[in-house]
Amino acid sequence: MGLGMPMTESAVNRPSLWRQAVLLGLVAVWFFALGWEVVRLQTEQHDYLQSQGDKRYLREIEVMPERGAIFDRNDQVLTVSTPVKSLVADPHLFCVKNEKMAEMSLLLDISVENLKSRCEKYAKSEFMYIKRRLAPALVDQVMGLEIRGLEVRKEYKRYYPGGVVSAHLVGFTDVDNLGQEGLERLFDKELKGKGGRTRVLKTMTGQHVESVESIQQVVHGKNLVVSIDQRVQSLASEYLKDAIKAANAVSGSIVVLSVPSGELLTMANFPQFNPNDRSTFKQNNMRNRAVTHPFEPGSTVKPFTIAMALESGEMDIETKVETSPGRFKIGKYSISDTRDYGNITLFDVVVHSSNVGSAKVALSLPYESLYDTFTDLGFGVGVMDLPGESSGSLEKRPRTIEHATLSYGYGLAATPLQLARAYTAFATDGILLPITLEKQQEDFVAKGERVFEAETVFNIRSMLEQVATAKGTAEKAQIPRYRVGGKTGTTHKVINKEYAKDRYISSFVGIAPISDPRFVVAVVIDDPRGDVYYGGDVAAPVFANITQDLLRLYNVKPDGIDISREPPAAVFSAKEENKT
Amino acid sequence: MQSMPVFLLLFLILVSAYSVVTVRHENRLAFVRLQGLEEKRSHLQSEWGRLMLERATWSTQHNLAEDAEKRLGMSPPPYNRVFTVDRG
Repeated sequence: MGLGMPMTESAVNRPSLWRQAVLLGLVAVWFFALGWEVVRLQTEQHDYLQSQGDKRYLREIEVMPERGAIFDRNDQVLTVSTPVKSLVADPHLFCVKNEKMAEMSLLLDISVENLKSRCEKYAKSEFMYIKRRLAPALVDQVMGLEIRGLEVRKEYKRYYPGGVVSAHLVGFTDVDNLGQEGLERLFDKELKGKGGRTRVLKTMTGQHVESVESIQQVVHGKNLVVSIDQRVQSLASEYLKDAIKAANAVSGSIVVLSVPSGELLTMANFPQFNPNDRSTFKQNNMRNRAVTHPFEPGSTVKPFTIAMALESGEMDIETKVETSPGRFKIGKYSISDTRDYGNITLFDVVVHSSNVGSAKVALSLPYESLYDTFTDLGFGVGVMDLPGESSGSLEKRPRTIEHATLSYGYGLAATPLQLARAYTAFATDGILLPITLEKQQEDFVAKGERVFEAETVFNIRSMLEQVATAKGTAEKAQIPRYRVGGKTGTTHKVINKEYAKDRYISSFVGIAPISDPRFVVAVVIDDPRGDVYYGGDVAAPVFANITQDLLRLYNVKPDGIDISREPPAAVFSAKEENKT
Repeated sequence: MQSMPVFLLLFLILVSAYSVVTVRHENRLAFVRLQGLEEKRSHLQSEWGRLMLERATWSTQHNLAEDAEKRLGMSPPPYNRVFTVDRG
């Protein structure tokens, strides 16, 4: 058989068919085995393998929510968060064979021992803070060392551009960005938002390279607009500080309310602290006295007593009360006036601030009417939910002496905010306004409870206006071109459960303008130790300063224009010329 | 003709498998874009915060008063030099 001879088909096919079958069979078995292994891995060991893979490359990280900003009524920012960088580490990577720890500790000013002890402490967790809130440049420098397991995390630092000015009211947050005091605490829920989680891919050194998917969407905090006016806040805190220094006093508060909206415009306190500077965080500086410190309001409540008397129907403003000889004995107690005012009308009881007159008027009427009037005015109950707010105290004590002293403001305690709020009943036509921190529309009228009739309020306002004249106790409350009114208070401080003879709390609560009130302003100065300590001398001038600015800033039309001071003809003619 | 449903099913499986892959891919791309935008938002937010702070610092009553008085030589007019014009 020659080599060139073609083979018959049968001769070629028979052995190759057999070999093909074997080959195919082997390949089939191979594929089957492979397939089986794939199935086995997918079904039996899937979870284990997946988790092992993920552990090496995937990780979940927390996404910090941005805390919302707070704005005042004129869109001035009261507090805002800005991002800062923090260094965090995965102890499993960071703490093992870390030759650069010394270098890093030098840059960050943390000792190596400190780092090592923390490594031990957090050995079992996947995360620890190295140092928080660092300058970006320093963070870049440290990251340049390329240390395994070291990461940058974005955090937020809270800034308070107003500094001391509205510190007590706005409050502050702690290192974890949670509200601790003031508005920050009151509105913490809205401001803080909700953290999210993201799955990220990371490299062997632990740097995260890519976000893979979002597990929980982050919800950033809301921005808030409040009723506060930072301009007035700033002016008030300056005036307050000056007044306290001049009177050699210890502390004080100013509260400004808007009428008839019931908005809180300003709440300033002294002593102050700076929320941007933790070294000023001392208990005594941080109290929002306008709501945390109730005091005996004294004579500032006399107008309420007289209003109650007018409403009883048994007296009018011309009704006379005998206050001679300026002293009045009830059992072993004696009530006295600064001098003998003689037989005076109810009107003059307020204007001269006669304790004897006020006590006699109150005693001629049932204790319940006085107590109920004070209750209706909100004494003894909280005004808002500001952190640390006190509800003051007003207890039912119907003994004659307590009935008498309550009428001129002893035996009850009220915060400056409560006192200011009570005066909204005189600033409206008898409605006690609810107080709000929400910014309202310009023509908003708050719905409150009626405490007095409009006619009573009209009469009381004329008394309050008279107080702010040479005839009354607060001539220094006057403001040029505007009619204002209010009432002074000078109470003895309680020290060691007794009334101190020469220690006082001086106050003034006023409303302006009298013809159509827009503001209630309460000023309280605690413990003036200078030559002057009367509310009319210490607190009333502060009222005048702040109210004058308020009326100007809010473009309130003057209601007390002195005609003789109106512009001379020349001014008008000049204006006419300009027009043509 | 009996194998028709099998082919149809096979075809549908292929289509669905392909769409799973496509959607996954699109999802990734969209997520990456979202990340980018979030990053941008965050940048703008911090820039805004910084500017707000700056504005607030410049416009504090204290700064304004000092600037007006010292730099511009202004002062609040005494009330006897203020005329009130009633718009009626």
